[in-house]
Amino acid sequence: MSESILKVQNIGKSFGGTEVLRDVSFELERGKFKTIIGPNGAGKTTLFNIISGVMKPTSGSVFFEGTDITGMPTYKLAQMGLGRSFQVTNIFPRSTVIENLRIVAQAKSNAKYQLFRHYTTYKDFLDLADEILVQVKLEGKGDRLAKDLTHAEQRKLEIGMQLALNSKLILFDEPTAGVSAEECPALIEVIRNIKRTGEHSILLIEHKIGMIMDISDTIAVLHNGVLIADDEPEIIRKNKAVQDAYLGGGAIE
Amino acid sequence: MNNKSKLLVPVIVLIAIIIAYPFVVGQAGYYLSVAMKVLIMVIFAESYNLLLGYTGIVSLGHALFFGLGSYISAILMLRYHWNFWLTLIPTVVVCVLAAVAVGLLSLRVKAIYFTMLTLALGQLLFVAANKAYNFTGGEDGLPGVPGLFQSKTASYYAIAAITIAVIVLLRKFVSSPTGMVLQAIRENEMRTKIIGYNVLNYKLIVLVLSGALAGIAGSLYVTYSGIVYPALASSERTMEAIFMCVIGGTGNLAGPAVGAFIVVVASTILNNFTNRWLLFFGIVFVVVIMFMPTGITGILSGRKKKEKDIETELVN
Repeated sequence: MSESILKVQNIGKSFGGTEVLRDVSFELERGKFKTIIGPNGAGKTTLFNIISGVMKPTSGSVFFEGTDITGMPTYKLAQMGLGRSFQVTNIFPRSTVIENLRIVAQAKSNAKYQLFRHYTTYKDFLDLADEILVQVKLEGKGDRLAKDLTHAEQRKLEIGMQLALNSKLILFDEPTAGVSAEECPALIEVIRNIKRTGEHSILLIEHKIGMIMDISDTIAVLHNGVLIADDEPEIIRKNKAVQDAYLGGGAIE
Repeated sequence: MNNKSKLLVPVIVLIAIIIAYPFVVGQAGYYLSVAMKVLIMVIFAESYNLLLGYTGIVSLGHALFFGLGSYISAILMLRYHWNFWLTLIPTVVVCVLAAVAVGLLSLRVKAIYFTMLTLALGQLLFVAANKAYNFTGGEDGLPGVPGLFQSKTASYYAIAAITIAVIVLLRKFVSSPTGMVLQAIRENEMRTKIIGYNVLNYKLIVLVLSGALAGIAGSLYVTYSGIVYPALASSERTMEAIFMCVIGGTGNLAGPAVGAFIVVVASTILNNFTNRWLLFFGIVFVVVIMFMPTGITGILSGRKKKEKDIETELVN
């Protein structure tokens, strides 16, 4: 059981009288790729907010590499190796693309409190930022301001920022949100490449399940705040309850 | 690199003007005093710019630090006959401690509450200075603070040297790893937290540096004005810092310096005609906010155009 990098235990969350999550439990093994699917309002993002420390759960606990991280501040989680991306693009809009990546790379180093040396003297961060620029297919756009990128490019930058943080566990909250159908495959390709390195465990929220079926090791289905299934893609595909909940009885394509 | 070489000529010209100035205007005069005031206010405005322009936090209590510097230096010089340069040590120490205290008390709450709290804390010294008559001279203040040197020209050069040193130091600071994090906080505070920065620590750092610089500006100011009085610690002083930053432009080092120059020179000229010069600034302030939100330096560097681009983007 020490294999699991993330363990979510009996998480419950209520806002006022509304119960958004009820008794959600699952584990993610190190190096694996799990996708959480579920209709709008199923509680996926709330679950992410709890895991990443943005919100506190009403009940239950979250363990990261065996440590109870429930309610820990986000900056500490990031330093421990748990990073997340956002459904709504969350970048530094008026910084250059390269600076968006560089500032993330700097976060884990001892140089981050340096007061009087020029930031460019820390070559490592810039080199890493350059490397990631290629990895997320944003070559040649490093000098642009992040706000001037297209939406799909901003999503790639967002993923790049996760890589710069070099998190052991990456939470992706709908990386393809608002991205056009033509641009989605390129984005999924970037994520596939991250998986291929084998250095990161990944937890992903996604609506476009057709796209992630073959890269997910396991798929968990959240419906009305309850985890109704958590299994390999093939089994999920055939699961009657999932089909009813998620697609109103239709088959998952 | 390119940036550096582009700056080189204007910087040399500016320094040449600063050096030549006393020879042009005469060695004892009124114009030298105005220049000294400009240089001191440049430090004050730059210290505020660190908060407003670089980190994106709005403090209404900045006068607290200016006032602390003013009173500490004036009282130590007048009552205990300290040398001015020695008074800078307690000024910096007290301002650093005050900044930490203000920061720990108010930085944990959301931005708007932080702003309100700084307003309240900033008034503390103003009230205390008014009430502690025996020690501070109350409303009348304490006159007779000596100048930096016997010669006004020497004082001018000393102040100019300090101002230049502060700007050189700030130039290093804002492009250090820490300075870059401050700008990240300004751009997206939540994101800065999530990538692993302890935002509270960074805000404390900038508050401490900003407070210490404002304190030094306050200390220098009493040697220029020759008197310390409660208004130096009043919220009007904070407003002046905001004026200077907004008019000149924030988020770069040139802006507040330009703003300080304009505000000091204009208020000096207007003061000859009317006591209500603040009224004019109120109007200018509104016009600047409405029509040139990036300030004068923003317009000069063509940022205005980019702002428009954003607007059209949003409309589309």
